[in-house]
Amino acid sequence: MSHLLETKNLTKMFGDFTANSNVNFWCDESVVTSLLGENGAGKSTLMKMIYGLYRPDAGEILFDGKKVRFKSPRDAISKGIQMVHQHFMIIDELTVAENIVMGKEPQRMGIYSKTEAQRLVNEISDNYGFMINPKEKVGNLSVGEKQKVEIIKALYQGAKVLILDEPTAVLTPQETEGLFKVIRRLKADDKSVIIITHKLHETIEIADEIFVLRHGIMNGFVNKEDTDVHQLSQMMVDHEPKEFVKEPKAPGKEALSVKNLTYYDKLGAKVLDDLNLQVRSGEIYGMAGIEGNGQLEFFEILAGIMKGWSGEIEILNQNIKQKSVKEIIQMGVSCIHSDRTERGLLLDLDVKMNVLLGNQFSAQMQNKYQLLDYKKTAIAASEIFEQYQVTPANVDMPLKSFSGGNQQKIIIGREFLRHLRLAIVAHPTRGVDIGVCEIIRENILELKRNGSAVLLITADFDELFQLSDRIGVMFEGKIVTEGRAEEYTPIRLGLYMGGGNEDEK
Amino acid sequence: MNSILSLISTSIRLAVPLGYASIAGSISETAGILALGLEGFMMIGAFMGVLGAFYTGNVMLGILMAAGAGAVFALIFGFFCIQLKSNQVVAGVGMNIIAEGLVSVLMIAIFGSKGKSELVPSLQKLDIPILKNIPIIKDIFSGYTGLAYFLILVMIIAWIVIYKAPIGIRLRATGINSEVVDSLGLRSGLIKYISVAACGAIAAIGGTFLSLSQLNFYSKDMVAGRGYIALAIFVFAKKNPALCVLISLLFGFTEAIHLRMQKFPIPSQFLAMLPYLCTIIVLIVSATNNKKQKLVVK
Amino acid sequence: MKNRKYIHQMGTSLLSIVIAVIIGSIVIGLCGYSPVLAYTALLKGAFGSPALLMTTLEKSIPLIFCGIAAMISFKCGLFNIGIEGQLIMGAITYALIGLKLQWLPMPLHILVCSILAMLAGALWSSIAAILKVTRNANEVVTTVMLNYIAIYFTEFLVAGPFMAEGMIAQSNALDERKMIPFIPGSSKLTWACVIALVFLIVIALFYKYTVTGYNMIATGINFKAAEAGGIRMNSTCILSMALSGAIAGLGGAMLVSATYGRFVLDMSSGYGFDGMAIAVLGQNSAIGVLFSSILFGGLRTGSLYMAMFEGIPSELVSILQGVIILVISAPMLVRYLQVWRKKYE
Repeated sequence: MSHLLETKNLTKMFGDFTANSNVNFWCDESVVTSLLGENGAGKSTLMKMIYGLYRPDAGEILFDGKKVRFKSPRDAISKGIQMVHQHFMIIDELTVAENIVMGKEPQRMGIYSKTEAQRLVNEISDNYGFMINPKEKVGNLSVGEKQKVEIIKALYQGAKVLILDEPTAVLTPQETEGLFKVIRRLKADDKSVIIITHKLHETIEIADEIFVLRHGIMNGFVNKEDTDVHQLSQMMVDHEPKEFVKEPKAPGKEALSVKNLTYYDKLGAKVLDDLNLQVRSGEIYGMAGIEGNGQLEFFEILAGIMKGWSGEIEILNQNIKQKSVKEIIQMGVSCIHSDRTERGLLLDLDVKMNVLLGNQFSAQMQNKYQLLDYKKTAIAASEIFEQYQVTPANVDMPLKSFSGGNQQKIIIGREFLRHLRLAIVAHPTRGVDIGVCEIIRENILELKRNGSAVLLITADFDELFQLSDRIGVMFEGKIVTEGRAEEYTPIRLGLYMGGGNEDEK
Repeated sequence: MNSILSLISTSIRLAVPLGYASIAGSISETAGILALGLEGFMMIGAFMGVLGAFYTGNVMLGILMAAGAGAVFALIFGFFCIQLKSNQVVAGVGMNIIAEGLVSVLMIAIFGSKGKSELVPSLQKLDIPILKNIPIIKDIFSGYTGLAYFLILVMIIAWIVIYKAPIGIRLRATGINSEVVDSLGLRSGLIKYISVAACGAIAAIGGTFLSLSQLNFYSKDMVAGRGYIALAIFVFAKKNPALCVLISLLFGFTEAIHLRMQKFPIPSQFLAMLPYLCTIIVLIVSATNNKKQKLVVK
Repeated sequence: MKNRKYIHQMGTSLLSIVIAVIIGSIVIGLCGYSPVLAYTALLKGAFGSPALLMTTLEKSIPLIFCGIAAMISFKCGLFNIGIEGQLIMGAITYALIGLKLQWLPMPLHILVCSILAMLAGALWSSIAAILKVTRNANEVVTTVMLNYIAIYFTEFLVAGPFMAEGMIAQSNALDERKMIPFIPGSSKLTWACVIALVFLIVIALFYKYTVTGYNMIATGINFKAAEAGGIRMNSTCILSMALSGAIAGLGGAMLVSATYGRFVLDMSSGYGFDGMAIAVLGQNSAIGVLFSSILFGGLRTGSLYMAMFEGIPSELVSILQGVIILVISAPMLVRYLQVWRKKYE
């Protein structure tokens, strides 16, 4: 009996780097298969080959026992392989129905039939208990709803195999339960579900068969019944995760004070709703929350980029309402943006030019005539390379040649170069491997030890609990709960993140 | 009264090339390719139309040749943008320079003159059957050449394709995020190529209106920046073909003033500036406050 | 590592010239002329004799200014297509105010009028910049529109209130003693070439060593990251366009004060547009602009020679320029060719 989809000795290399090496993987109908591995282990490379986005360098892919060659996603899709990407592949400006039926549009005499499309969408939607309005513009939906649209789309387009890429990254624990219900339903409908994830607990809960990928090699295959979290963890990483010692430090004076912050976006929606928050020196405040609840706007307001808000924000006892980004930087503030490519990097330029970004105004980088002094910059760059173990240690290389993890290290290194009184850090370890995570988190703790205040915005519960002294949850533009880190569990946080509170029972 | 009617009909006449060009630009930009080559497409169209009419003696064949040449020229531009991932602004400007040079060289090579080509058969004015007898209506709606009426057809077809046809969904999606389209197994590249070719062909036809409709020859600097004016038009019209035609009428009016109001004490150069000033005003008025698009080029 | 980057960049520029020459030959052939004759005539006309070389260098001077102007705007991520118009506004300012200020001694006259011309050019480009920053008006369209407006406006001036005696639409001539003198020993090359070189060096240093220069470069590479890095978008963009317009205006000033001595219609003949091709070919570097300007100056002189002695229309050169721009605009082209070369190694 052959598997529905199988890979034999699949190998993929990028230059000298081996992303996948002799990988054997398979999935079957009515089975939930998990592909488990840390960031950078090679999971997405494997899936991209199965989906037709990459061509394997060696090995073969078999569908229904027969060898196949996918030259593009079209070939994979024609076999019924559908992927729900981590970054949703949907068009906000189009309706739910239009997004779902694109490519297989129902028509009447050459004209697109809106009503028929809506009917077909409702058919699938009702089947699974989704409450999605096909006429709604996708841009107005919540993240969880958008994911449902993606699943409906995969089913409409004829999925036999559904690949879910890190599906729970953007969900609360409660929403994750909902997703698992859907996955069990898909399983009952004879679909094959592949979940790509790095989350152990979820894998144990939902998967039937588990493949563990480590450094591009298939490190093991187990059935759910035969394993546990510890064994899986050992298969995933080669060293014990670092225990971070959170030294209690008596916090100092208020470094960041936000009172009654309200902000309406261009469309008139209330994005921040009377937000209140304080962070003191020598303290790490971890802010949890589902993306899209105002964190981005809050961040950009604190950075000085977004204006037009009402309320009071004081950084180091100075009102920042009229202050420019440059002035805020010069006050001793650093902001690590969540989207490093968009906000943090000058990809085509070399390391020195990137180290200058945000630092070009300070005397640290200038000579006595207030002109740029590249010698100083080169020294700073070398120091960053050493402290953060950046490879290759070449200050003249353009940033685009560095890996994502190294790019993030360079950004953090150049930001923490300055003498910081307040650091606002968003998703600092997103998409980087475990080694880089540890270095970055260690340096954030170092900031706190030196007396800086840190506001940490993250979706990673491990990170949140490892680093935070206090935790708050942001939901719909306000802090809905706040307290010492010890008072919280992921479940309790998830409740608030989804908009509930403990009074509802 | 007569002069008002004449002003209106002149405005309509002058609006036609802009209408074609702005609809062409709408299609291209909806698919995500900047329509900066419109000026060049119109030039190619205007000249090739004359060339075709010259060689075949048939004006319709000339127009067809123009459309073909426009499509081919646009496809080259498309190739650079889609396949080679060119900077679309730079490539667009480059194509316009090539177009101008090409047309100048061919003018000398074939017609032996830099300024003006030979005379060729041109389009006949059409008298619409019933309308031509109604006093005022006849001045406004009848008596234009076929290309003017054809514009309405093009507008309707473009509107249907973009908003009502199944491929319209894919077209609009391609312009917003072609990755999404590809992830469905569709070919966003093909959609872009077809759109750009359509843009070239339609803009070229608009160009022939300049050389074959009102006149019957090609002259240097005939297009005079209309391709760039069209850019402002479809931005203002939010890429809606029907609105494009409407706004083109506004611009036709500014040009008509220059032609018809020579008797006024305003120096002719200032009147000549009107369409260009109007373009700037239109851009100011139709401002988007979308800070994400601060510095152009997707 | 840095040297490799320079060599790579130069290689790209040279490659695009080669491709342009090849495509150009095809087009030339299709038009019924001989590519070999055309290119030999071009080269002969550009560099064939000391006199021709001098003419080439003299024509390169306004090109250098326009190239710098284009480079400044491109480096900041803005597309100033209005260099032609800004040059014209600078030229008319120099010509008309120059006539009024002829009582000034020569060096001062040139200095004052040049500064005013630069202001005129800066003003003209700033209109587009301000519209971009406040109303998000696409600067490609606005600068092109301003070109036409500048052309008509100056036409009005020299065909109307400031027209010189006679039938030609032009301004009165400046006193020859107020114009920029020739370099000793040459009857074609003026000191304007030194001015051009000085500005080239100053601009190169500006981008390398000043914070403002860095800010502009960062904005051009990734304006969102620049914004996050404390760089003010609005003022940086306006300053960049203003500088660009100022240099373009200075180019116009030089045309009047070194070459023509007055404002004549069509005196620019496309220097502004060439400036863009030059900046693109020179990959937005000062040294690239220098060499590209000389190349394009050569194309100008060569094309006249080609037209006169071989009967091949000089407009052919426009096609070459357009192809060069097109080829450089495509970063993938070079990569494809490198991959293609590797296959056959």
